[in-house]
Amino acid sequence: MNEKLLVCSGLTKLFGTKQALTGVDLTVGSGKIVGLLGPNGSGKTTFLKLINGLIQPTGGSVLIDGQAPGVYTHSITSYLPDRMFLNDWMKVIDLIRFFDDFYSDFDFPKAMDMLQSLGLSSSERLKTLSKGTKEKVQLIVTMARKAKLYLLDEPIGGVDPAARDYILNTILTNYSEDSTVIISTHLIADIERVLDEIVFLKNGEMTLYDTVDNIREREGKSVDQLFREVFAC
Amino acid sequence: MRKLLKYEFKSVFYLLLPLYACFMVVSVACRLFMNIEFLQDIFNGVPFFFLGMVYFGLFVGMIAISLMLVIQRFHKGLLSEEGYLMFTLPVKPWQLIVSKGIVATVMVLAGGAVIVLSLMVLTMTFRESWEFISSFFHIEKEAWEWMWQNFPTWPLLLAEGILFLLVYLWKHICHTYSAMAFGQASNKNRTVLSVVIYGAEWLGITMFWLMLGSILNRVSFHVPYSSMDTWFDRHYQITIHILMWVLLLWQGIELAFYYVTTHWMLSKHLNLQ
Repeated sequence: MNEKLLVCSGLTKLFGTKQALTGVDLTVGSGKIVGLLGPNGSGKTTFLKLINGLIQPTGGSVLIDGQAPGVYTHSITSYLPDRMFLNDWMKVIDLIRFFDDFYSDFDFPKAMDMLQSLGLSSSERLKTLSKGTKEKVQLIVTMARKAKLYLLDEPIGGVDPAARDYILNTILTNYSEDSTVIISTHLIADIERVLDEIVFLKNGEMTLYDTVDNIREREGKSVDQLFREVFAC
Repeated sequence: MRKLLKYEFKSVFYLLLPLYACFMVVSVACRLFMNIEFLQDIFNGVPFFFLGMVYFGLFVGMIAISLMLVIQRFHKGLLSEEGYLMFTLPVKPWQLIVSKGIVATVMVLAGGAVIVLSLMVLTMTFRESWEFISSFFHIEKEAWEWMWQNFPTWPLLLAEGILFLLVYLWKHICHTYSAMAFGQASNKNRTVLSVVIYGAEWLGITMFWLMLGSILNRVSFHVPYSSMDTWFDRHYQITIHILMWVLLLWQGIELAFYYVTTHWMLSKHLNLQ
């Protein structure tokens, strides 16, 4: 078990003059499911992009398994962005083969099983799929990897409650016990039951990082209730 | 790199191959109309005119789509949504840039080859086309002898010419990439910034060469022109090769500049928003 799988030190990001993230210090170990919680515009997506090296920090640093974002960290991190990255010319099977080609930890049979359980044909073209189904396909290729760190950006945002259950079950049944999953969302009630730890982000600042059990014990309320109080408009 | 190339070729040629096929079919149809007179007169020549328009449209479209794809595959494939996939792969940025560059080069060359083939279909008989192609491989014996006697290093010159063509193409492709890579660093007005950077880079490089030329012009080599002429006459082969390498160096320096700036922007200043 790695107690320092993800280490962020003074992580700061400015977009022009707008402060998107301010001095985030966070250390996350292996084997956890962490909720990255905050309202829209609180810096959740920016934080996950910085971890993936898709944008560069204005200050501070990110280390994953001791290394800055790059080839090695990409090989152990499985990232589900908040948007469609699919190339429409592909069939579902092309996408699965693509992941199988590039990631040595990709589990091809598992991906095919997950597709089958969704009742989706691997020969279907991605452009013919609905938005919700495309999101599920993206989730399948993300979760079919045996990564050390899963970064899921709003995996349950914008889908119906039945799909939310499917997505949460997919995450819970497919990540390995020694991996860490960071899920960003503002739909706390739906995912509270699966979380070990939470991070509250407010206006780009980390206002809370604790275990769900501690919060319940200390505050005497659920994370969802606490969230509603902290982020009340 | 092999995997990236496979993916990139598939994403480009799934669109281009049907277009090439369509273009060739229309070329053959045009040729049939041109050869068979009574076909030209059907419905007062309207179908023939229409076919000609389709051919012209496809001709222009082929060139436009090939050029647009060079830009689109870099912009959409790396700097838009697809970039979230490509930049989280366990590959280095140079591999992403080079794979895009290789495929773009092949795409431009393939487009050119299809256009030449189509013009051959339109203007030559099958026999003439065959003779035209085979003439490249069946050069007359006398011509071979002349080449080997007077210019024995011609294979090297041919290789230099091909290399120059590739470097020249890569340079222009990389120039476009460099401008887009700078443009993506902006939080807004990315397209405008890319266009401005494209022009600024071209201007900067042109100014650099002009200044270098001006400096070299002031340097006195203390070699009389008459003796240089004599030397060139005696060593014309070396002179031509030197000239080719100077051209290669010139284009190579520009290519290196555009590649280095593209790589620097995508590895140190990536800004996928």
